[in-house]
Amino acid sequence: MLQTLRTLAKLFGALLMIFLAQITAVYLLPFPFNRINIALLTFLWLIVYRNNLSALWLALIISLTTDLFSSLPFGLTALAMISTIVVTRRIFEIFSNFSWYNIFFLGALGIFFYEIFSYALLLTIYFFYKKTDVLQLPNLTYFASEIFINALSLLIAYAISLLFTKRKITYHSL
Amino acid sequence: MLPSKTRKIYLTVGVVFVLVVGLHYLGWLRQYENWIRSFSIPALGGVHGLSIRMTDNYQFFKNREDFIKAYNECSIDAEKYLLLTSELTQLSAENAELQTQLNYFKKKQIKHILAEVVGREIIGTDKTIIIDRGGNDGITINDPVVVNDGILIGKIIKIADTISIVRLLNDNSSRIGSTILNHDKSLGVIEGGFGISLKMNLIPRDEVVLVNNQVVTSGLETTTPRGLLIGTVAEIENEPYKPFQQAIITPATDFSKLTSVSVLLTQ
Repeated sequence: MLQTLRTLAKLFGALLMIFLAQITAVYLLPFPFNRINIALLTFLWLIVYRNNLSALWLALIISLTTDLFSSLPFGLTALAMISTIVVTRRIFEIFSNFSWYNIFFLGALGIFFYEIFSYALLLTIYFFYKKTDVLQLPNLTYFASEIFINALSLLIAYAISLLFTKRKITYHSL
Repeated sequence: MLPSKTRKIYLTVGVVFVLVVGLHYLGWLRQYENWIRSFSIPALGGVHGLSIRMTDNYQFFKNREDFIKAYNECSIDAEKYLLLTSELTQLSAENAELQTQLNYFKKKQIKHILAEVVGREIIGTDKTIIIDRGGNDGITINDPVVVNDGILIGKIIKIADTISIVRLLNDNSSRIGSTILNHDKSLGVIEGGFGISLKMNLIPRDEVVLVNNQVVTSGLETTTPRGLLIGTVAEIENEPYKPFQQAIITPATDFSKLTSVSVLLTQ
């Protein structure tokens, strides 16, 4: 009983922290740093790098919660995020361990897939349901800068984590 | 081939996702969603308020050079002010006419509802704001949202029971029919540009558009009344090989510091 309560408290705390970190980054940081997708980077870190697959539940809850405040159709953010995590994790199974460039590549690929999935889903919805609405795709510079800033953020987080953890965590494929 | 444990987690997450999304569109989760929203809105509102206060702090000068630069700009502004005072009498008549056009609440008695801005888009690149009024208050999709006495800031694009999402004019996907208050009353379409600027397209190239001309809604859209102020012309681009000219518009209000707005109820 106590164990369950502790697990629930941990889950709730983690959800709250990720949610607050995401809105703080988006609302308080100036452009282009407000484009850092803290939620997605956290889940890529937990699920792909730390191999903690149960964090997929956290990703589902957070993305569905953000969907409640999104201008996009409900479920689109969640579907894009879950698909991104699953695909990126599958790709990164080929690596036996993580190095600096792997971490950068993880952030870059994660954001790349997330944007691609989001726009693909949005295009599908617009094609079938909202033909009269205008859908503007982002320009390449904007897209590239977003990928770079997110990949760099993950790299900085990795560098900070190395200061606190002396051992290098290796990736074990399930 | 995925290991069975991984496959099981993917499958359960997938099933839960489909279930939640399905129940959402059936409306069965509405009560729980409203509960989550009411729980999250104070946090969103708090961080949003903090962001506005922090942006205000950027206005302070950080060193001597900035201070001197600001002082010089003030001196130039003071000279301009003196010149403008002399033009005041001439402009007051025109201003009165514009005020009459813009004061829609009193003139046309359009129903409106006040709303607090509680946040912005959390994930995604859209320029949107979240307001604390929704379907329960009679708001419908495409209702125009204004500040002050009729400065248009955007339109409602998504509604929940207790909140609504407003697409700002400077969003990429925003399009609105507009008129320039020049001699020709030039028509065009205002588009947003990545949250940075407003651009008015499709202005006939033979019509004379001047810097500082005001831009208002044209009223050609069924849900948007005519005469809501959008901004002023800052720059005109009239290329000889193009059938239309374009104008860069300075918005009449700062979209990053919105705290309370009014929704014009069109239905």
